[in-house]
Amino acid sequence: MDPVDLDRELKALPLPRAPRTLLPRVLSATVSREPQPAATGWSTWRASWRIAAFAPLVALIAGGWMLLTAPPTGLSEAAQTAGQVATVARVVWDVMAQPLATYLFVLGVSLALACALAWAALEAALGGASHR
Amino acid sequence: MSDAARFEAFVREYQDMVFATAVRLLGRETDAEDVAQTVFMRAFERFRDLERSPSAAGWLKTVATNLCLNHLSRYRARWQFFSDMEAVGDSQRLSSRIALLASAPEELERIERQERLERALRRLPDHQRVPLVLFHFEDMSYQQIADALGVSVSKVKTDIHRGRDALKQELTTPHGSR
Repeated sequence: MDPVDLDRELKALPLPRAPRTLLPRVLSATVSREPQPAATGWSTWRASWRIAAFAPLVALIAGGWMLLTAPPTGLSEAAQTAGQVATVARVVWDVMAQPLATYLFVLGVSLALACALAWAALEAALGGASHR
Repeated sequence: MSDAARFEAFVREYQDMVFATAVRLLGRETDAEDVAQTVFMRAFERFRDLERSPSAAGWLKTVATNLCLNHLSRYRARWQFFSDMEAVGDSQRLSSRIALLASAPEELERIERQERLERALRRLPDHQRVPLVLFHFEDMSYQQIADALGVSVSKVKTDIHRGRDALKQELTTPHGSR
C-alpha cells in the first residue's frame, strides 16, 4: 500500500469502540441525578387537585366579600393606625433615606460593574478554559 | 418507553462516536472514557431537547471536543505516553483474529495496518495529534483549529505536517521493528 496516501488510510480507520464499562458508568451516574419532572400547567393537573386548588381562592374571595359588606368592629381603628404608621414611614423616607438612595444606587451599580470587569479579566487571563 | 430506557438507547447509539472523538484527541482510553461520561451527563441534563434534535450528534461531538481540549490544557503538565491501548480490547479481538488468519490473511494484514496507524496516531505528542485529529476527523479548517487551540495558523499547519510525517514513518517502518 502506498504510504503517501495517508488521507485515505486515516479516513478508512474504523471508529474506535467505546469500552463496555462506559454505558454502565453513565447509567449509574444518571440514577442519582434523575431530572426533575417538567413543570406542568394547571390544566394538566388531576381533577381532585384542581378542585383542591380552588378552595383557597374561594375562601379568599368570600373573606373579602364579608369584609366589604359587614366589616367587623375595630377594623376602622386598625385602618386608622395603619394610616398613621404609613405617614411616619413616609416622613422617615423623605427625610433620611431618599437623599442617600441615589448615592447608594450609584455605588451598587459601580460595584457590580467592577466585579464584572474583574471577572472578565480573570477569564481572559485563564484563556477561557472554564467555558470550553 | 421510559425516560431511562430512551436515554440508554441514546447512549448506546452515540457512545462509539463520542468515545472515538475523545480517545483520538486525548490519546488515552481511560481519560477518554471519563470525558465521554461527562459528555453524556451533560446530554442527560438536556435530554428532553436532545433526543428529538437532528443535531444531537453534532452537539455531542462539539461538547466532547471542547471537554478534551479543556482536559488537555488542564493536564498538559501531566505528560504521559500512551500505554494502555494495547491491553484493552486485545482479548476481545483475539478470537476473530485467529479466524481471519486462517481464512483471509490479506484482511488480517489490513486490520493490523489500521491498528498500527491508530496506535501511532494516539502516540503522537499532543501538539501534533490534536490539530491532526481535528483536521482529519472533525473536518475543522486550519483557521478553526488555530482559534480553538489559541495558536497561529502556521503552527497548526506545521504541527499537522509533522504529525503526518510521523504517521507515514510508522507505516513504512517494517512491522515488528518497534
